[in-house]
Amino acid sequence: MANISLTQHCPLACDYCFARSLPDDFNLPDFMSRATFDWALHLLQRSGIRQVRLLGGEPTLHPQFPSLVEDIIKAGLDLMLFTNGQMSDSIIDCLAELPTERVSILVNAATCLFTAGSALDPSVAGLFRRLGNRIALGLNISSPAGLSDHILNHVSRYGLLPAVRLGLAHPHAAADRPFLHPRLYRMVGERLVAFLDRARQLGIEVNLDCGFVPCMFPNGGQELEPELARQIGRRCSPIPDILPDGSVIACFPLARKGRFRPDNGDDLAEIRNRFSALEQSFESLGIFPECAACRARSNGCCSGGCRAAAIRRLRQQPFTFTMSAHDTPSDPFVTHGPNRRETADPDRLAAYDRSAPPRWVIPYVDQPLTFWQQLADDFDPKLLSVYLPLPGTAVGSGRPRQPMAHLAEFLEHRLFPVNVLVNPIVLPKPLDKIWPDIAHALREFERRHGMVSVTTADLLLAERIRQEFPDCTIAASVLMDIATSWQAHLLNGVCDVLVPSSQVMRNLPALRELRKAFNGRIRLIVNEACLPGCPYRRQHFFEMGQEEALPHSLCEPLLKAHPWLRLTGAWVLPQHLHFYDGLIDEWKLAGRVTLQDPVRYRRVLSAYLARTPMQPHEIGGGPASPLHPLDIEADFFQQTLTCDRRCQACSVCREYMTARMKHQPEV
Amino acid sequence: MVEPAAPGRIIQYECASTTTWAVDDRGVIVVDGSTGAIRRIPHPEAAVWALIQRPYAWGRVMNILSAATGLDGAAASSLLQRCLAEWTAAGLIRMTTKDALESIAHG
Repeated sequence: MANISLTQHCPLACDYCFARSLPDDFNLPDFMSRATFDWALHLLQRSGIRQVRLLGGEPTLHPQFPSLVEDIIKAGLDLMLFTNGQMSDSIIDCLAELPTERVSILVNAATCLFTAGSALDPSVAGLFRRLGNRIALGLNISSPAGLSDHILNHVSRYGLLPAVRLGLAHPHAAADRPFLHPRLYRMVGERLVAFLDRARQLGIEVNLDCGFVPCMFPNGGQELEPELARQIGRRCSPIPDILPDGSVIACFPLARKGRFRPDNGDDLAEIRNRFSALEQSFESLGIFPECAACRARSNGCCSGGCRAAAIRRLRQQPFTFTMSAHDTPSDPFVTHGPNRRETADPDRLAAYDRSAPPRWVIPYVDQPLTFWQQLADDFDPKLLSVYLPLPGTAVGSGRPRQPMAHLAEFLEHRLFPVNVLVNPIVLPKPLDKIWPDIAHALREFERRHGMVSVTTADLLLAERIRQEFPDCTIAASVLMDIATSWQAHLLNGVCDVLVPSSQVMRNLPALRELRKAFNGRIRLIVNEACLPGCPYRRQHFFEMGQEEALPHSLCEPLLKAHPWLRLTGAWVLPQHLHFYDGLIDEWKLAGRVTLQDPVRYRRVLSAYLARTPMQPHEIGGGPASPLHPLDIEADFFQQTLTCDRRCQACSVCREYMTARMKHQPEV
Repeated sequence: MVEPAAPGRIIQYECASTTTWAVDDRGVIVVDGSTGAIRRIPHPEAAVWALIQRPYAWGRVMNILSAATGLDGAAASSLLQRCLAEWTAAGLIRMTTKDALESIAHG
């Protein structure tokens, strides 16, 4: 088989569409020329192909479409047409005149024309009424919610062929475009089981396109019907696509990995052989890290999923590793035998002995899905969850209202577990009065998105949530202001996570005490940057929770009078995280307001994950971090982690600031 | 084996710009983009690859490697140097030597 792509144009422009993701530098013509089409037809004929598959874009937009399909039939070939179903009456007339047994039509039901709960697009309905007996539906799944069985109702209503073809929206191996991330496959698999049940009840046969894998189904797909089970886990065996300029690609997702113009004498077998070589070179790569050791793969039941999705896992991250003359086995820092370990820094070794490194909780900022997919691709194992205000309640989350234009899309795709915030600095009403509203919002969120964790600043509220949602992970917000071991004891049995107060973020002895007293995990914010114990903080957070815009920091006059206080703020630079190794179980990046710029967000997150140096003004911290370029030396920072906090009697920070600012003019 | 740097000199290993890799349950898969060649790096060598691409100093890499593999310092050092030599020969990484002071001056 081979596909002939007549054009890349389609008025619907579905965001996951393969055809839209072809690189601009392919310089494809708007439509395939007549000469190229004739050549492609000849290629198929001499290759012994009996069926011509026309696709796009929307192939019926080709200005010569009627005569092209007439030629196909005249040449004694069958036609399979892939279309969005929206076509003119003249095109429908043209198709209606072709012999029924020689023509089949697959209408893509994943477009906006097939929205659940809405009437079917009149143009598509017209097509169904006239040619329904040769039309089957196809559904390209770009999100778990996209697998809806409402399309099955069209089959009986319009007398369509009782067959539905399901495909997965695969990634383009070299372009950013929404796709179904493999992390979502299990959710799709669960929905697919219900979809198959419904199809079986209606007597509709379901066929699966490439990329379905056994592990996306409950019990590895063992309960699927044998015919369907045979269609999952198949080897990636692309059907070549002939593009409008006559070049050939293995498939749209792999377009960047191999494209060439066949020689005149080539047939499809030779073309496939060239692509097979490409496919084989990536054979050892699967869509999940677990694929490498998967039994289904080793016994031939699965080939590791879509090759493009697997290739997308490859990182391109240049690095430099440096050795000096001192870096030899005689380095005194290195242990040389079982009895020498105690000679190394015990704190640092303790950090390495932990079974898993701390992961990151990161803020939701209102960016398109591609931003989050890129984060998932690049940093996934290091990211724990994304936090955002609990939708559906006016209780608040300690910050001004945030833009949420992309939130529905983000939640629907579930690329990351979500941590919802219900943490105003003070509840706006007595708990009894607002609890029904909060409980309803939490239940609704859980029903729609599967709640994972809640962060709250009120212990009574945490207790209510614990009773009502016993499986939910509850975090005590930084706004609960937990700074002493006695406070931490109070959380045991209620909270699973403690975010220490900004009073102690830069106080290692206090953090050690909290860790001893609290049974759960300690999550440290690295870039919030309030002054420890700031007397203005409570009112400032109250005002922030009330306003649409960020109010002025109430501590500004204080900071203006004593700029060195900014050195005492609750911020930790990426290069200094190692001072906390062994003390912290999770890291939290602040920045719902300060990191809304996606480029800056990535830069700051990348730096923290890799522990690459930054200066305080770069990390998206609050007002109590230095606003100007300022090198923070490790020795100085370490000193502030264990000092006695008697700033009134100390001059270390003042002198450091004075000395450094002499050499670093304001910007 | 990689020779230690001469006094006052440093050795830098750089990942080729065309090299891409992915971590999985059996180690690391490294793709040489210039040739399309794919190489599987099993454990424990995979741990070395994972560590040298982080911004860690040599001593820190050695400590983590030693803890992760259960090797003593000398064996871990030997593993590291063998990997660096092999990957340099295979073209996955490039070795350069620089004057230590010059390196500091230029960041």
